[in-house]
Amino acid sequence: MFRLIISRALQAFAVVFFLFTLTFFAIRAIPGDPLSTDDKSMPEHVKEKIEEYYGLDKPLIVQYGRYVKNVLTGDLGLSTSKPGRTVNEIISQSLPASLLVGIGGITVAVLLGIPMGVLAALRKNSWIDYTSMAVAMIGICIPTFVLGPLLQLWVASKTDWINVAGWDTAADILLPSLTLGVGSAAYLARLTRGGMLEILSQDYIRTAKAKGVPMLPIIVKHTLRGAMMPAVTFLGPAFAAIISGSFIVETIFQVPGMGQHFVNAVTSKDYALLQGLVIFYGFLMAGANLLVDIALLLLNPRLRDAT
Amino acid sequence: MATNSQPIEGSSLWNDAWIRLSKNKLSIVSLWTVVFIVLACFIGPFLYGVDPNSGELPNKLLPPSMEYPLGTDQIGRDLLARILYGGQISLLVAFAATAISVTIGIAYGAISGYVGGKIDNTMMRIVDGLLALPFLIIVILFREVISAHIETVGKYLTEVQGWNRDFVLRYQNIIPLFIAIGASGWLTMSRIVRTQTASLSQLEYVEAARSLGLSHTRILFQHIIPNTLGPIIIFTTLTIPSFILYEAALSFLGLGIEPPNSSWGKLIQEGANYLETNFTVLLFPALVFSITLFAFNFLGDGLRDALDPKASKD
Repeated sequence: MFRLIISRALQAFAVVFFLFTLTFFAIRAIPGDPLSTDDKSMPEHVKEKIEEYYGLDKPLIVQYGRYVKNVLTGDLGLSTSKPGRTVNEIISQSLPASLLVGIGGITVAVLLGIPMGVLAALRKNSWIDYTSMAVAMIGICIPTFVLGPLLQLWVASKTDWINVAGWDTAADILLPSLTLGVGSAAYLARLTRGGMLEILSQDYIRTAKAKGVPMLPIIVKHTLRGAMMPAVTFLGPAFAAIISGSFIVETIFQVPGMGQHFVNAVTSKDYALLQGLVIFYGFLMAGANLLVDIALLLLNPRLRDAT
Repeated sequence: MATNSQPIEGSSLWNDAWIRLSKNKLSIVSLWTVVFIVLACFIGPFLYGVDPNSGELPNKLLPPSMEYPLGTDQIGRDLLARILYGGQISLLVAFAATAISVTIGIAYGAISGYVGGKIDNTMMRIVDGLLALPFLIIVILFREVISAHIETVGKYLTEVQGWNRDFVLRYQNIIPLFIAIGASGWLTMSRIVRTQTASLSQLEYVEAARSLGLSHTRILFQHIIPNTLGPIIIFTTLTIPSFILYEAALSFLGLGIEPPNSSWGKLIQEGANYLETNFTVLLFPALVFSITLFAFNFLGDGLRDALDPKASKD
């Protein structure tokens, strides 16, 4: 099992490296000199510093080597739209807000999605089942960029303690998390329901029932562990959805997070920042996928033997 | 279809599938909804005859009335005309992107599955790797790179060839978007096609074709790919709504469709800004958008049940 985890970790590393290379060459394929800026207002010495930092006068392969070295030492580069600031600084300042909203989103997804799926499976083909699956379908089809403004209109402008947008009070985390989490909650509900139904139809559940084990222990001890497999597998893609969603949610609710910086980096053509952020997101994603893989190995002994 | 060339005995897979699909009410309603929305967006503007780009400021943000069936937007343009016209671009981008992604996905998956062995393994590892990346980030990155190149072409066309500037600008905005979405969105399709191809190429009839000395291209295109059409059709139907969604998300962020073009995503973004003055400017575009997503998704589910009865769940 240890070896399996090591091989997954190597794979994750390969993915990040691939993304890194793709980003590097994609950005250099933009005509002109995308990493130095045409911005006339930028002081000459800052421009020179950026050119020197990225070694823009050197051949591409040297630039690549230099950038690999920088990233390996944890240095993601210099921003061109915010002169004098490093990508590391920008990330460390905006990560907490994004992290809070992301954790909030995942919490909403898990707390809403899994109980809904379990209930729907236990009361299969009842009104509970139909209602929760209908709600799940609506959750999937109503995108964050519609839900967000609607919550602002219906919730934020009707209550005193929730702001329409901004990042000042503790309550400001509520609506972004909810907006971000609902879509994933809907998927989780459907997957959990499917997983539960499959396990509940297994022979060993029937045996447990025949032995007179009460329903609650059957669900908690025998069903949930297996039934969680599809849902846990989904957490990897869910994490990607949370990152993509954060771009939109942070824009709607004006959360000062990384998502906003990412969008601004594109609109202000700050390719140096864009490149740094993409790689950082790559790291996050690879780390999350690795955790999901390990969780699956812990949940399912059969996967461990499959090596 | 592939089966029509033979003398017909019994009913073909496609006939069976059609019968199963037409028994599924939800799918039929979805099918008609999709047809209606597509026709409304592409033929509707001619019948309706209202210019989506002309409006007068005094008429801004009006509620629905006889003159403006769905009201007006923030600068007094007719909202219905804008939804129809925006839908044209949303659908065009989604269809074009789907065409690109399906083509790449089939080619990549079929080659991988047919060749097999180490090459197959490497090709699928690459797909696994790419799938682990957040899709939206890749699309945004690609769009940025492609836009820069298309802009150079656009400059050449307007300045050297003397093409109409508005015309060039309009397409300069749309083309990078669907290329970027299509070029990043083929991964799952290639996996589906690979699985099918890998199992089909083990079958006796393919072996027979091989022993007859048919070329690989011919075996692939005539004997293998036609038999993977079912899953391809199902997945294509489900790809379209997800691409509509991505286009809208990008336009909402300001990284997609830009004026003078418009799309559902752009309309939703504009609507969200004027929500408090007039709720309908968000409601109507969002409603049309969500109904379209619903219809495509239910149609896809229905097609899955119809074409692949074994795979249907519960």
